[in-house]
Amino acid sequence: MLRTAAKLAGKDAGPGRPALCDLRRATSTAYYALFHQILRHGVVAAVPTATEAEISRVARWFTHTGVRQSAGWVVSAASSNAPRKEDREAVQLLRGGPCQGVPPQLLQVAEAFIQLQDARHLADYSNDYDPIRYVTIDHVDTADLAVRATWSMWRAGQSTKQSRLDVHDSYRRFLHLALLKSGGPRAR
Amino acid sequence: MAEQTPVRHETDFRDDVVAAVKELGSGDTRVLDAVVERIEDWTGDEAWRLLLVLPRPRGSAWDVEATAELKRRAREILDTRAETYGVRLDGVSAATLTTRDAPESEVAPPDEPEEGESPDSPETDE
Repeated sequence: MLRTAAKLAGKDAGPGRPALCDLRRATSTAYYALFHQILRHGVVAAVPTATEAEISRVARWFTHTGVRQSAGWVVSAASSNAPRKEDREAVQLLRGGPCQGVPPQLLQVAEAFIQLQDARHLADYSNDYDPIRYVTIDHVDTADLAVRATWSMWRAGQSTKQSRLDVHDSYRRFLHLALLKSGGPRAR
Repeated sequence: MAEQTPVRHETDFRDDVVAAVKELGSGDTRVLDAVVERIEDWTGDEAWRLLLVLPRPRGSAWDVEATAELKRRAREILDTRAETYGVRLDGVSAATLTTRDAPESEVAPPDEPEEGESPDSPETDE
């Protein structure tokens, strides 16, 4: 999806004005690349033995709002500001654990998710979408950086270094909170 | 006793944030200007948005690690000042980028309606 987003954004394209519909689709595709990566890790974190068919079904338990809420808690947990009362439990969980704080990679993913979700909303529904190619490329590159960070945190679970295992633990806390906030299985 | 927060004028908050973020960045990621907006985000929460105006990139794009760091530091300034001025909002704040220096070749024109379509024609269900 990221390669598609890059192509639509006109990365390394030759001269010529970009098409607005291509830029909008690039932003939207970049967002979905990160969203689906988080979902996949979230499913496997919750159901480690899930088959591909189960991964596909369980992924639908996650919602855009649920992941956003969890990302918002990560940002709040990394902040020196006191969290809102209704966020305290989740923020404490993210600040706790072996890392005793939010790893930089997790904060990067959370910030990128919120930025890209907002951008995707503008891309898909608003006339206020910024039609500048540089801005769209930054969306795509931000998604790429964040996806790499998710993989780094996921693979850290196989490390022999305690510091890397702690980062993986923090990522799993974020993923579990995203699933909880999404509401779990729903009737279809 | 209820927690007391300082109440200051929102204009002071915006001016303070803009002045602070204009110290950030360097090269083609230095902040030339900034706009602080109170928006309703797509989840329905009120949130602060900080639009950072940068020079156009030297190449085809800004360095993404530099822009990520810039957006993070800018958002932290926004959140800290919001706390100080007593203007925290429920939604998550975020920083975004733009430039006012983009040449025409980098700006997408509005989409033309496809042949047979008009802006007022209803979409058909298929």
